[in-house]
Amino acid sequence: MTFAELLFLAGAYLIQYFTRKKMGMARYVIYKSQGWERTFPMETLKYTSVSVLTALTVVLLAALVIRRRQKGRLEVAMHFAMVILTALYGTFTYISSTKTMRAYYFISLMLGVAALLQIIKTGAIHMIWGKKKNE
Amino acid sequence: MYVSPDWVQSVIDGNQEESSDYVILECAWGEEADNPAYTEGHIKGAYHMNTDYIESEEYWNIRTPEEIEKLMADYGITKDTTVICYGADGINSADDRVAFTLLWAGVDNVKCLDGGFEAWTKAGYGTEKGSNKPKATDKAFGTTVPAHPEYIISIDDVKEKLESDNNFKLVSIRSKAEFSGETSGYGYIDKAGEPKGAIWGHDTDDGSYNKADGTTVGIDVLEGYLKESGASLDNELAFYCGTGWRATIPFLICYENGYTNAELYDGGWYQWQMDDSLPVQVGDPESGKCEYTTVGNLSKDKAAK
Repeated sequence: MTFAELLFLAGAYLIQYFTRKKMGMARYVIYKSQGWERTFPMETLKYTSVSVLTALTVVLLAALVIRRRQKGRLEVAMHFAMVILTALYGTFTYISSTKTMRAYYFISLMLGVAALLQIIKTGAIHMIWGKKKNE
Repeated sequence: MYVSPDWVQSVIDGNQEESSDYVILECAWGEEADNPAYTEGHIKGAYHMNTDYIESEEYWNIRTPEEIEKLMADYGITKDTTVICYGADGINSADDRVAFTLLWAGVDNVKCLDGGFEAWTKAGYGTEKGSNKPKATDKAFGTTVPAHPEYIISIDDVKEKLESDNNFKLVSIRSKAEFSGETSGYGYIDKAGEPKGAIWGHDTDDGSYNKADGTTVGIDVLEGYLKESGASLDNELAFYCGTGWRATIPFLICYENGYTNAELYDGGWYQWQMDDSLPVQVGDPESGKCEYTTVGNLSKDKAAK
């Protein structure tokens, strides 16, 4: 995992921590969440983003199986991290809500970005493999 | 309404008629486990009251009558229970907010520890650690909740009275910077200003409603603040602030002194600034430099830094 991904994961934890500890933070996340719900189709966005990231993860996993002869430890670790992050994002986004966790949208967004970064990196590995095969 | 540490101790000791049925509430925002003000020491027998239990998230207004009645049953409170509320100190208005809610609901005898927990420890009375869990009651509350709906004025009624009732005074219990539109006063509110026609009644957070020892000022001080803004205790007075905490202090001062012409505009600036069509003033009308516009035309860069 990269430093950026760790930052997003740490950010998700910190937002949850301060939303519980600081009244101003709690009210800020609630105010912003209410604004987003009024402005954007949050339910649609939620299901769409989970579906897209899950689909990308499945495609990359399938590609890994197809190219299993080329895989090394690093590649396997990257795919493993991708599955974990996507599962974390998808599970959290499905089972939680603003009713159970005030910072839900913030945390979901941060987990989603972390998962997306890992998917992009893993996808880049497949592109490199593809180039090598063509050479 | 506002009582001394000596009186509270005498209730605990069983020396007051209230001693037979009372509840002490340590009032603060946040769950008990996240609240060092409670976990590190509280008045003997006190329960923690999270202000979120009495306020709904939409506008931070007081929850529905059904929710409040359920909450009181969970805390073992009926209309005949004496409830003693306290906050961290005299400036903190969490206890005033809870006390106001209980009065609105119909609890007959509600008290606030004057000067809060700070006054309690200064008086040398003991504290205890650990958690006290309220004992729920299955007794009926004893009256319809709210027993005093007249203590709260709605945003629609405020709007209407500002336009048509000269005796009506909407009194801002906010800082001068908030009142003059320099800042919203809150990190989560982008727009600054006041409902058009509001007058300034000083801020409780800067100690304007406390004596040097931290206890609450008398009605004479409030009367002076109103006079500064061209109002008096004879007007219909609707106090408000950002979300309804600070404004409960002058309300309770009026209540304590027998005034029945005071009320709380619970939604405060928070609810007002959510409706783009509502009229606002930016600047102090007394200064002559005051712009009148609508919420929709306000800039969105006034959140407190």
